[in-house]
Amino acid sequence: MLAGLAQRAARLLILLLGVNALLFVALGLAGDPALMLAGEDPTPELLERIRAEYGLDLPAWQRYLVQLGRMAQLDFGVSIYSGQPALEMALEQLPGTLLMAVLSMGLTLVTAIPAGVWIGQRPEAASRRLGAALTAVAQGIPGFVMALVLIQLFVVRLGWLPSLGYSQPAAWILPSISLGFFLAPKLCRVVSAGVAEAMQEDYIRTARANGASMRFILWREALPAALPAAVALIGAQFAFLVSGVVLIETLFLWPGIGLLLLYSAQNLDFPVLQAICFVVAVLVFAVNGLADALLRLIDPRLRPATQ
Amino acid sequence: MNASAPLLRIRGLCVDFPRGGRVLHDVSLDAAEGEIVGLVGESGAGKTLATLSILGLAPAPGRIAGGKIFVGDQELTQLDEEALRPLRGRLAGFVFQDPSASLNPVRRIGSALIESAMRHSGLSRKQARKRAIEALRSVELPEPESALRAFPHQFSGGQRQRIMIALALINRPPLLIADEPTTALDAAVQSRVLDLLKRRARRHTLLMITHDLALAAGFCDRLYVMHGGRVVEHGPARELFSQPRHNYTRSLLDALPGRRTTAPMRSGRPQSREALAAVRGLTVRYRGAAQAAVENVDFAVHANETVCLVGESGSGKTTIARALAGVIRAAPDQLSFPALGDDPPSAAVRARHLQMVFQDPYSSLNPRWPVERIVAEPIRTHRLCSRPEQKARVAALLSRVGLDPRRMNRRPAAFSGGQRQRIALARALAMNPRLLLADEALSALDIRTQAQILALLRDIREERKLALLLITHDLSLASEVGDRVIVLRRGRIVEQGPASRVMNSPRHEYTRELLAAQARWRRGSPRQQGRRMYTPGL
Repeated sequence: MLAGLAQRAARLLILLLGVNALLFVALGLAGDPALMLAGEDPTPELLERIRAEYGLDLPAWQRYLVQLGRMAQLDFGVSIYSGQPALEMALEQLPGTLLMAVLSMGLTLVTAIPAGVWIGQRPEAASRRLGAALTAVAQGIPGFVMALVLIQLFVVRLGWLPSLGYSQPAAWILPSISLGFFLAPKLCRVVSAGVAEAMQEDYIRTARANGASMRFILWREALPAALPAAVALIGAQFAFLVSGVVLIETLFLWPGIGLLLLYSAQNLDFPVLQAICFVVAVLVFAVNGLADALLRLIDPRLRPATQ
Repeated sequence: MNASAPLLRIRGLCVDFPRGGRVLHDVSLDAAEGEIVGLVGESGAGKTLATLSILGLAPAPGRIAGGKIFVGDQELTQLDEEALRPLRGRLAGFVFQDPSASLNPVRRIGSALIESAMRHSGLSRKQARKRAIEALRSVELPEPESALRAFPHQFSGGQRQRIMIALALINRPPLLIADEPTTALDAAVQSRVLDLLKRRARRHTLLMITHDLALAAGFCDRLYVMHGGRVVEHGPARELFSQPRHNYTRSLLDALPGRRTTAPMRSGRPQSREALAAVRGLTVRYRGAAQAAVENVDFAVHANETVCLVGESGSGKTTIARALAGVIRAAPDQLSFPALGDDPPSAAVRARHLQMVFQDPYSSLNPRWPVERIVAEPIRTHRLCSRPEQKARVAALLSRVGLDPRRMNRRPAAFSGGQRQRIALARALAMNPRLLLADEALSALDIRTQAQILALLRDIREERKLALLLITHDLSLASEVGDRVIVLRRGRIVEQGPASRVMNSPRHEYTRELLAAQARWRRGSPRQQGRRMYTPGL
């Protein structure tokens, strides 16, 4: 157990170092923040001063090491624009993003799992085939296209729902649905495939021979067998979901970490970008760890032998 | 209810499949209270379908097209799914063949038992739990309370089958249906599970499906022999075994080990002193395993002889085969091939001289390839002949193993299990090997098919002066075909010697136990007819 935790911590450290190094290189290619800060027609002296102030005049390897040392103390510096500590800014935006993540994950689970079970029960039946085909089509629609269609329909044409912010719960609906589109169709296909496979197993025959109802067989016998694959998918797709968050938050002007990421990237606000990537990397890592733990919980064969 | 009427009565049962036509023809069967009735026949005879049909469990498109089924005085064929469901497990409990596949791997033993008890008997969870513990105790599972919290993979095969029996009996059905309940188990475990079934059967009616006629005759009171979806003969087990009336029954009996009309294979004389494969102190330890899978094993195989490796699962048989085939690397001083030269042979040389036939003819052939390509694969890999010649070689090989060469364009799905094993044999022979390794190659086959493949193996071995290493868990098979028998237990050789000597005067206690376990409940096996060296009730 302790060895496992130590191993995980080491992996997290390697991941963070990797993300950081990658980001450092990418930002170095992106442009010179001093030019952005100096405004129109800067004098060379002004640029010099700004570079000196932010340590931008040092050679790259020195900047990298300095930054690494600060980051070890969770100091990402202050935003080039607002002067607020970068990590604080990122963490301030986290609740908005988490709200959307939880809503859309909930929506994904309550739609994709029943749909997957329904299709998997008898995948060869005509109605289920239609369902499976629709799922495949839905998987082909990018989430942001779905978001634009939904905005056009419910906000612009019908005027039923607000399209901005999250101050009122009615505004939560469209972003959650749109983000759900990033994962739900995939999850539905994995669940239906898992259930369909389980329905062919001998233990389903055992359950039938014991008088279990179809509902019991589907939800208590076949679905648990399909869940490990579903959890593994969620764990693996979470990072991809984060990229969806950036798109959806942008489209709905949802005050979250994705929107902050967009602004900071446009303004080459390096400290904030670093802080956001740090938070997201830790988040993705935590979700993956959670998925692993959950996997162990639902599939007893993965647990270390105790008997 | 008529007191003398049998508990289970099937009258003229017909089952149709929309595409396959009629699969069961006019099947009639009786089973009285407390009686053990055996249903015997080869795979595809309709045994399983007949019993599943009793409670409407026949696989999906199948449909009862005629006949009546009574359990007690209740007629079942007219009932719909909703009416049948509460009767399943309550009127009849089922035990299926493969206990590792028949229990849901992600569910606790307890939840399966408890939910089944609650569903039918209207018990509270607490009462159901008590009932589940009782049920596990009645099948003699150790520590039933902690077993409730465990998952199937934490039990051995025999224990899992006990759990299946507990599950089948938890709602105290009058009828117990056991479909090949011991086929997937080792001999010793098999006899203990059969003992248990026998004890439990006194309070139930037991309908047992098996392809093992000797077992059916020794275990059951009455037998029904099925063939091609029909009952061809039925009667008291003893009578049917000693005086079969139907030709099919007779042919089944003739295929029993020790009764087979085919001349025994055991006639080989080692041609040369030089061994094809020599194993000296072979030790294999898998990573992370506490015990070595194979430890200090010595034996040799010569041309023109048949050596049998016998043992239960986990005894190291397959590990030895893997070492021989080079899948596991063995030290050169532990494994050598003297007849192939002094140096350790390269992988290619080894592959040319040593070929394998595997247990499962369904998974060991690529289902997407036509037979010609399957058989030609080694020829192509090792460039043994030109393309045009290849077809002629494949045709010759197929006719040698008794298959029509005109079918070489078909895929494996078009062949039966026995035919597939012939294809696998043809593929192995394509290399013209000098040592043939058959790993449980006969275990998955019906008894008559087994006899045929065995005869084929014998002929080919003599014709080509092959060395044959046969791996099996079946001692009677080993005694029938082997020149020498090597008995393995937990990775070590406990006994080896000429087959007749090992069978007739086994020196090691374990060999004696194995022989006794196989003979128990079986009728007509050569050992049982002769001496009775086992103690009944062992």
